[in-house]
Amino acid sequence: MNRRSFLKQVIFLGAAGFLTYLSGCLGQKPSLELQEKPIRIGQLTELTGGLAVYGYSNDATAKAAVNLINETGGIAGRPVQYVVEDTATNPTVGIRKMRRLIELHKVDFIIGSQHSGIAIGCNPLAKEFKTLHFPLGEATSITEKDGNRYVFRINNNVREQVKAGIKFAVEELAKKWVTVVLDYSWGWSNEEEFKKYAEQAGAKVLLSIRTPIGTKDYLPYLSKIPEEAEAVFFANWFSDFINFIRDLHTLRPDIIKYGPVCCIEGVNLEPLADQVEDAWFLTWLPRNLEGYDTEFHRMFREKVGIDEEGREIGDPSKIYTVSHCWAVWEAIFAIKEAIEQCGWESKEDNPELIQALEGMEFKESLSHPQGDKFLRAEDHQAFMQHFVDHVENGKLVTKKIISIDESIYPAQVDYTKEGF
Amino acid sequence: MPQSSNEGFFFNRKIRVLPYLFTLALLVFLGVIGPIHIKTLIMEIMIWSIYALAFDLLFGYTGLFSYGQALYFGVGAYSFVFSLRHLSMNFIICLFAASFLTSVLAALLGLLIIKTKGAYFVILTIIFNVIFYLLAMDLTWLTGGEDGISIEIPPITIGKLCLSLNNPTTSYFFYLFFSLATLVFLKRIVDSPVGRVLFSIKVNEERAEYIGYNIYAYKMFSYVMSGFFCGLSGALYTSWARYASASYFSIIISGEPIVWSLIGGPGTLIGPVIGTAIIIVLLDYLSFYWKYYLILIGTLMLVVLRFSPRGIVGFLKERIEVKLDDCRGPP
Amino acid sequence: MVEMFLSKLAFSLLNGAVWGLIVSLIALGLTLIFGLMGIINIAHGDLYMFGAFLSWYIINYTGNYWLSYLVPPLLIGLLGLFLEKEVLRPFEDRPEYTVIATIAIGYILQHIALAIFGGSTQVVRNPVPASLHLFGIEYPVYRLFAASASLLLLTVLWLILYRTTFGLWIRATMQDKEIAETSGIPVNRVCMVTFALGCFLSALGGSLAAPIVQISYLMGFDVLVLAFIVVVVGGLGSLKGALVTSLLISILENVLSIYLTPLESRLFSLALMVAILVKKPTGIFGRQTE
Repeated sequence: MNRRSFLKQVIFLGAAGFLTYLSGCLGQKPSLELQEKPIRIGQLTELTGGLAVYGYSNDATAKAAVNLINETGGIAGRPVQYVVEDTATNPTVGIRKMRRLIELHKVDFIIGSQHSGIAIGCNPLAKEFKTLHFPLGEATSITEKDGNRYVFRINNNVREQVKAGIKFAVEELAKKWVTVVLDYSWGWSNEEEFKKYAEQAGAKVLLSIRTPIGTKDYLPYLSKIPEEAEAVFFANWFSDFINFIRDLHTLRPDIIKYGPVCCIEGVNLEPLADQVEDAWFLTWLPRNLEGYDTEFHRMFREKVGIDEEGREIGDPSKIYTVSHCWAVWEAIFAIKEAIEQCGWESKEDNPELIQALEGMEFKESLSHPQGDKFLRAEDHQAFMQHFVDHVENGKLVTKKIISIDESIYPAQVDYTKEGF
Repeated sequence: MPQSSNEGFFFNRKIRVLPYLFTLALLVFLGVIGPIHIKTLIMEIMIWSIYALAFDLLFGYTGLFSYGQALYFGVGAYSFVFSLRHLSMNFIICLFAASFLTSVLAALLGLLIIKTKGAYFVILTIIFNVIFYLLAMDLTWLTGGEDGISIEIPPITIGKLCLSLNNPTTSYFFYLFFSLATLVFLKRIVDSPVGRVLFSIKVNEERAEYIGYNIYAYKMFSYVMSGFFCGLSGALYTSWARYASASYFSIIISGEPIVWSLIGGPGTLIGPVIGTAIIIVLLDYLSFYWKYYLILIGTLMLVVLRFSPRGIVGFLKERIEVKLDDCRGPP
Repeated sequence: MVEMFLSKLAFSLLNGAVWGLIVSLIALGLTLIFGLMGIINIAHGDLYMFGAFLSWYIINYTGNYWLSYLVPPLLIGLLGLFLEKEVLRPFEDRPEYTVIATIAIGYILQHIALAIFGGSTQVVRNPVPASLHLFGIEYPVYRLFAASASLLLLTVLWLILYRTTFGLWIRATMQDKEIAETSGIPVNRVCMVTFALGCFLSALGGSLAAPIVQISYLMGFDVLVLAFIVVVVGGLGSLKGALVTSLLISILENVLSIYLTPLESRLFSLALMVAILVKKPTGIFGRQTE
């Protein structure tokens, strides 16, 4: 060991430490001192990774919502700034970015991830940093055992979805069901909830099939479907769904098919026209405008840049996740309404804001294009209407609107008793 | 001139620790007055560096290229969660319990894995990783599957001292302690005779065997040690994130320490730490400014590899040595 | 009862064989590349993904399926020439470094695909929508087509390797690079072309699989792990090994899933792979000496 190695060690270690510090400082953007201190809304979303198609839509929707708010006078007269961070659909990255949003970008509110795992991982951080978190993940537990007082969900969850659709499924589709779900938590909770509610409604689930993620070949699983089964309830997404429906179509072309819209979100149905023909989808907002052609829904699409068939205006190859991305829009407007109602000024006032949001009702408007809804005070879960789409000639046609009452289930937790 | 060389020896002994002291002072300084997001960043880098070091002990010092260390990261994470839940002891004991359990598992799997060589070793580590990933995804009642489990870390009180990880400064020094301890411990290992043998296995396995070393036992030692530190990093990460999910077992997590340690400089202790810091910082900042940041990261990796297969540390080492040789003039 | 079991068994065997053939096409490229250059090509799955995406693009804009089988593999093959010569050559025969270099290439390819094609899952319309009545079950014809195309390609590959001078060169280089070089074989060029051939095969696998599997920018990953297991368990550098193992693993999983849950059958087949490697640490058909 000599002077040489001394020098190099100084340089390495010093450089390493300093680099970290410097890069940290670099990220601190010069805060824009506007006349009014802006309200900062951060979004944690999946710009890359497995759920990138959701992230694309969620990001665009949030930008549109923030632009609209800023054009029309901001929130309580204050401008809104929007920051987005990418989770890469990976919980370890997601948690890191959640902290970055809070600590570095100093956001006041966070629109959370579409990925349930990331949402669950971020919930404790929301409480720790006393920052309101509006996750988009649909696992029921996000507003149950894995939630807390700082977590609000403006969109629905698996239990709510299954419950909303069950009456339709049992009374109008079939009595003897087989469920085919993805072999992981989201699929299982769909399977369990469906079985529970279907049996309550007087139907029977003959067989439950679970298929691993990434299955290319569904024939071995689907060949187990008993002859007497009348209908299949499915919960699988992206390529798994497409492989599934293709193989199901080959095996049992006549069987009734019903499942949540997540399976086809962002997928172009055109090349699949034959296979998905006659399938039923429970959706939270129809992909085609004509299924729910209200003034506000039309305006919402116009502002975000979605055409009448759910594609991006100007780039028809990009299909928006219309059934999900409205929740980003509505969450941002819910923040606005709650702030204006309780006179929130900074994070210090979060307890008042939370109390304002608990039990808040939203009327159908441009702020809430999906329809009326309310946030239940106990578990911070929103309840809303659902839609049933049917594929006819390769197009999704909305056949039924299910009222809010159908989706309400008893609350399992009571956050209002929790402190702040 | 024995005298001067003796002086030089003492001088060097002293200045040798100086850069470390300097870094330590910087880290302590940042821990006290640094802004919170910098602390968070450094904490995360420290935790992941332990993971990168664990990989580097295996690859950089023993020549065993594992593409499945996420297995031990995940097992460490979950053993921490379970011991926290069921043992109801303080979380520091749980950390050690988790790392210990992980190293036991590493020893068991090592029995099967260690004897294979080269690509066969790589693929066995991958297969075991996939098996555990599938199990973790499937046993939802235990692991929470993809949705994961979130936990709360109860603070512990020792006398009048209350240690709560919710306090950023406390947790900063807590993780600083563990990462320094790991570094020191690994330094002791690689500088010890055992470490020399490990290195000789990397350089020439057959020769090491002919000399009479039981290379199987030494490899096993390295593998179990690596498992221990992967487990520790998994447990520490869980305590930091308050969350564990099946995705910790993902093979993507297995690939990360490979990138970190090869970019930083394999076969050194400081290299993996620098590699981890650089990649994490870059990922964080690039991903904020450009959506397709992996294009840049990938290019950077190729450039670094092209100019120095020994990583950034190797590259700098060479440059500085050349410069100093120039300064000294002709002999 | 017995009849039903037999028909199920026959069905699983057929189905397993079809998948095994498609996977072996991808695995073969991998094993050739490793055997010749010591490159552990992590980007192989991403090349497969690019092949599938390009053929989706071509089908969308021209509607011509034959073009979609021809153009993407050629383009990816060209890309392979470039990658081997300009990017990977300095790292050859140092597998650890090729891992990280190909991880980097994979990163770049993935995000280029994300930027160009977007994050959504794309579907290619099935060119042969018919199905055959086989063993009491409707079986899609396209799969049989894809399997026979793979079989044909495997035969062609075998002919190239064992019946042409170039194949001889490849085999000679695989056995000993230096001796090959001294006997006048243009080793560098052989490596370059073989790498391109491997890329060609994986892109072709992507094009063939495009109407069966769905196309997303992360699709390469699933295939990669399976292909790697197949290649190594079969014995590195052994074409026969890759073919046999991919048929074995695929048929086994199919047959097992008659009685077991998918997870159990997957675990069982993985455990079998571990057992094979522990018992015979150089794979089924691997050479005994390193």
